[in-house]
Amino acid sequence: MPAYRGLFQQVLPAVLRTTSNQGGIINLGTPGGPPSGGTFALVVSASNTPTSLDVYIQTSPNQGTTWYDFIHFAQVGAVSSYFHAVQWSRKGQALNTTATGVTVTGDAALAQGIVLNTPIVDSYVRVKWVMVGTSYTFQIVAALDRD
Amino acid sequence: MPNYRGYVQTLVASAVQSASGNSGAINLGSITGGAPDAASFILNVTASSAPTTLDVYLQFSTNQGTTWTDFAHYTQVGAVSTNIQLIQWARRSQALNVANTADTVTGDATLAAGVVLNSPIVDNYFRVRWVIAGTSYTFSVIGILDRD
Repeated sequence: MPAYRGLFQQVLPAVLRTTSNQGGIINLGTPGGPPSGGTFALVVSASNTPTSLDVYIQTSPNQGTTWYDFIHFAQVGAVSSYFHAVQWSRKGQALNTTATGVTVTGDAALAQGIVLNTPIVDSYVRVKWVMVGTSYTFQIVAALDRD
Repeated sequence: MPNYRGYVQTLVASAVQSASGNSGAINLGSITGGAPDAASFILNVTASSAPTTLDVYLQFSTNQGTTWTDFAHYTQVGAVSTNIQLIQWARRSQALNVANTADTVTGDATLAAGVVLNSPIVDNYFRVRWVIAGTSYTFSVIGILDRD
């Protein structure tokens, strides 16, 4: 497949959300093929009596039966706007924790602020969020590169 | 050989393991198109019975299986019934496992827990080894592989 630079992909649309849930399965990098790396931006544009919002990006190696976090944004608190970007790469970047390549993960289990720079199953990617409070309006967009 | 991304290979199928053992020799990445450049190796412990400790190593052999060398060792699993860990491995270009040194003590089930050697391996002589204390653990190990 061809290389590309800066491919925009909306990973999760901007919607007012009132409960914890997960988005649909996406094929990351479509139509250009699995990316080598990406910038994932979590954008919160509004909230109503917010307490906390945890957003995970996950992959599944068994067609959606089990899901593993590879990104967990820093927890969003009682705010109405928030913009964080995380850097992910399949390889070649620093480990998430100094001096170890072993990380506890799972389904909404990865510590906040951690990114696993490691291969994923690109055709089974989803966003999961856990929220406390009345509502948050947020989206996730990605800028992807493929070498 | 072709490139691939996100290829899933089951290395140890989910099963109750009541004794220390190993997966037998596996040819890593063989089905899809050759030796990977990088991988996520996921250990998923889903149950246990009277557990004490579980140590899981990823190994390769340079002499067709006569002796085995650890290149990764998950953090030791204790007396729990569930645990999921992900190892990030690449043949090169990632950080060293210990700051400022590339010289690591290893062997057959001797690499320190939580250490990954981001270094070439012999892909057609790969295996998973586990050392169990306690009655049993139920676990699987899968790889998500990339080749550029």
